Amino acid sequence: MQGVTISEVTPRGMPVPPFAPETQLRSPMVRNDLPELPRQAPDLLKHSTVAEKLLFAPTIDGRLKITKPFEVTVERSEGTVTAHVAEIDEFGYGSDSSEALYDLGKTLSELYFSLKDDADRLSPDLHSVWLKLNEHIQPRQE
Amino acid sequence: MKVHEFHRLETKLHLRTRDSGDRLAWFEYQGKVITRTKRSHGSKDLPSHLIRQQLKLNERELAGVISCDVEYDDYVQILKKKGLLPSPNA
Repeated sequence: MQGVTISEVTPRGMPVPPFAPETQLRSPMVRNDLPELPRQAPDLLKHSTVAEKLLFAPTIDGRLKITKPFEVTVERSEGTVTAHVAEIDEFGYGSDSSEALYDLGKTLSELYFSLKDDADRLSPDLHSVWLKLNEHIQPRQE
Repeated sequence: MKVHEFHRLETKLHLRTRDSGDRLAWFEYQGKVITRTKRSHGSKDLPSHLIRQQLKLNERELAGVISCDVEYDDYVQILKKKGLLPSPNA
């Protein structure tokens, strides 16, 4: 029986491309011969102070509802992430943005009840914070 | 700001807190709540510029409190100068 010879050209005479692993065939840009890059963020990004603005309206307490979202600035500085509401000058912080926003939510809830308890003895500055807080947060109806 | 620096701030300015679960600390004067800030929890560095803003201090004044140059009475004077304390007749 005669052996089968695999032609180096296609039936139309085009040369057959050399065999390459599947990963290389996905894209001409993929190279397997490079060392794997570290997955952590470069130092420049770790210390980046670029601020990100977002609207924040989570459930912060079962007794309260946020009726108008807070505009929050999330910023990383010196290894700490802060989530700041400039309108009422309140903030949360943590090692990442989720932690900072969670902390902010808890703080907003506590601020609400604290100012409510002391509403009749607030300085004009804190009274103004209380009024602004009421534009965003309302007690849930029983 | 380190946690021990915040504790110094709390002691020097006679900041009040309700209980250990609280995240807030506040400054009272003549029965009125004047300023408030956030207490330290855990060992993470606190954002000093935001705490400073809440306590109505500038950078030099905050450094003074931490380094023991600014005492409780000085803080009262600082707030008075900024018009943040109630007048005696109010």
